[in-house]
Amino acid sequence: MSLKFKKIILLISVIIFYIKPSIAEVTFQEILENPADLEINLKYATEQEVLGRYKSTLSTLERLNMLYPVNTDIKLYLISILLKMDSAAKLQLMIETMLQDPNTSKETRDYIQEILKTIRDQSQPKPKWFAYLDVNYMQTDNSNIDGVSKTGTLYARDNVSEFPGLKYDKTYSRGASITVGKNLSSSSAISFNGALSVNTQNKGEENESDLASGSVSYSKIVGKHFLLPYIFYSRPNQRLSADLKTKGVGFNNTYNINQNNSVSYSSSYSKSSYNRSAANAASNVDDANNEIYSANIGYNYSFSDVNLISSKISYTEKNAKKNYNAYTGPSFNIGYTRILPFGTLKLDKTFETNTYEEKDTFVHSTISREDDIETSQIQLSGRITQLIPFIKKFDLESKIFYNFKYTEIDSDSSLLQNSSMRKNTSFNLIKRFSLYE
Amino acid sequence: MSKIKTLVVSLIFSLFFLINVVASEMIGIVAVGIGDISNQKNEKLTTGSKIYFGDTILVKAKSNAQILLLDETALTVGEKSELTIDEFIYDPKTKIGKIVSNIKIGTVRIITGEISKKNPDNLEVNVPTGSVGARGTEFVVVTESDQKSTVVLLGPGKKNTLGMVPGILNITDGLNTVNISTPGFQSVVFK
Repeated sequence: MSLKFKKIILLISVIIFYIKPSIAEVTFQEILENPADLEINLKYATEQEVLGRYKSTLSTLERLNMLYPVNTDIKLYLISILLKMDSAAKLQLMIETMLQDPNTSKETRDYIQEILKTIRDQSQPKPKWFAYLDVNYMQTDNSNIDGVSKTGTLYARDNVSEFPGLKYDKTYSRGASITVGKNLSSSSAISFNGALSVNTQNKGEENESDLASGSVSYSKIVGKHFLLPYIFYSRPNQRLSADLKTKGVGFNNTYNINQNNSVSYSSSYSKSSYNRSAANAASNVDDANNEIYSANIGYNYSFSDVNLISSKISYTEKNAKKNYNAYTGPSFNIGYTRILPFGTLKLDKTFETNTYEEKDTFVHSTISREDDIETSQIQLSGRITQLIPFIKKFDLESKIFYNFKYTEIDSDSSLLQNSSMRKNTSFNLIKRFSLYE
Repeated sequence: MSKIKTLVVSLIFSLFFLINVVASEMIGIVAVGIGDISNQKNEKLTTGSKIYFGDTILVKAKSNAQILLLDETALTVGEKSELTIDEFIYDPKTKIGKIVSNIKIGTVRIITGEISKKNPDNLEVNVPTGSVGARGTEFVVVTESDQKSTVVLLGPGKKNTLGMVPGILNITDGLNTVNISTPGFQSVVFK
């Protein structure tokens, strides 16, 4: 693990350590003893909200609203809870009372108008069809594009040889994707996506390709469940190596326990097959044909409106035509997300161990392959207008998105050629054009 | 016979003592008391006053109050209202218990607490014309007279983003029963 990521993990631990004791500091007994204390009761209301006990928050705020009728902040806090609770009748009454109150400031009245607009927008039926086009440009700096091993050597028929390959290079990706969807009801939708991209490399050609892909997904909210089954297809047309096509199916579901806690679980299956052609007939490219099964379960905890911690355990099984290409492996992921004024920051760390089924005797006759892979990622994404507000003059609808990503993949393997360190830094810009909404 | 007399006297004495103990049990507080609020003994109640088992709370004109019970049930009582907590049993460890409240007149808004969360049937609100059972919700009862009461479900709604179970009210006049599950909907119970 690199020093940089040790520091990040340490930072997350410190945040958790500081946050945990601050939860539920005020007890109900203290409220019974101090029912009119503004500070204690307000703290209790926010703590109960964090704990997902919204009725306690509501009754506390109502009490404070009765005791401190000119305090606008309490009223606005109460309105925000009523909005989240979908208590329309009470919200309406509360808003009318506030608007009739001569003490309500202009700023508060404007805020209330905004809330009313939100309510009106939400109550209007959503258009049935929607369509948009995303135009995308991405540039990536790769520290080790060909995956040259840490020692610069590799095994070939039990002998150690030099690992030939390019280390530093840049890649460029230009593409477009179109999404067409239909809202089937207020809680379900279906969408179809098709994408094309051209990927080029600065010095080498090994990683150059054209990629065509498509997917169909269906989303449905059932109670506290968010369900997202999908199917996909992709066909990279590689410039120097064999082309392949991959098709798959999966689901990506979330169960919201309450506002702060959720469990996500997903599973997928994919099948990839390489094209045998006259040009690559000798290299047995279809030996790498494979099927991948993967399942994972994760837990997400948001300890405020802007902070989220997530963890996930996964299991992957890859079956291949040749067993030396097949492996099974568990992985563990931990992440932290923070919403900042200029974008969303994500820190991620994944630990993965893949054990291969059979020795590749062409590589080494006695050593079985086992890879320990640590992937660390820092990502900042958002709307470009969040970074540079001036751009709003040109991007009126704030539909240009950016993404900076730094990825470090540290792989330790029992085989020389699979122990490598790769560091990639990428910058991605997406412009979205609404075609129909 | 004298032994039986002694036993009966002891039993009566014990019962009297027990009733007094139960009656002196605090079951909540007046979390907000604005204006003229009193109990059945005509004692003035203010913010922080204790509420005891069997207490009747009288809220006069231009006054209002919030009663907070030990299971965190909150009753917001409007002006010209009178209510009694006829039954309150609550174990804070298991969060199991029972509440029976009687609204004689006036407006009372109720946010249900732990008892109702654990067992919705164990919260019962009686009005002169019938009774209301509530599951995990907030509702308001307006008793205009001993001939007419109106019950309105306030929330949470089905589209709440907090993962809360939408509230349901079960209202009966003794013969007919009506369920309300949409916030803003009401039922009027006549005698």
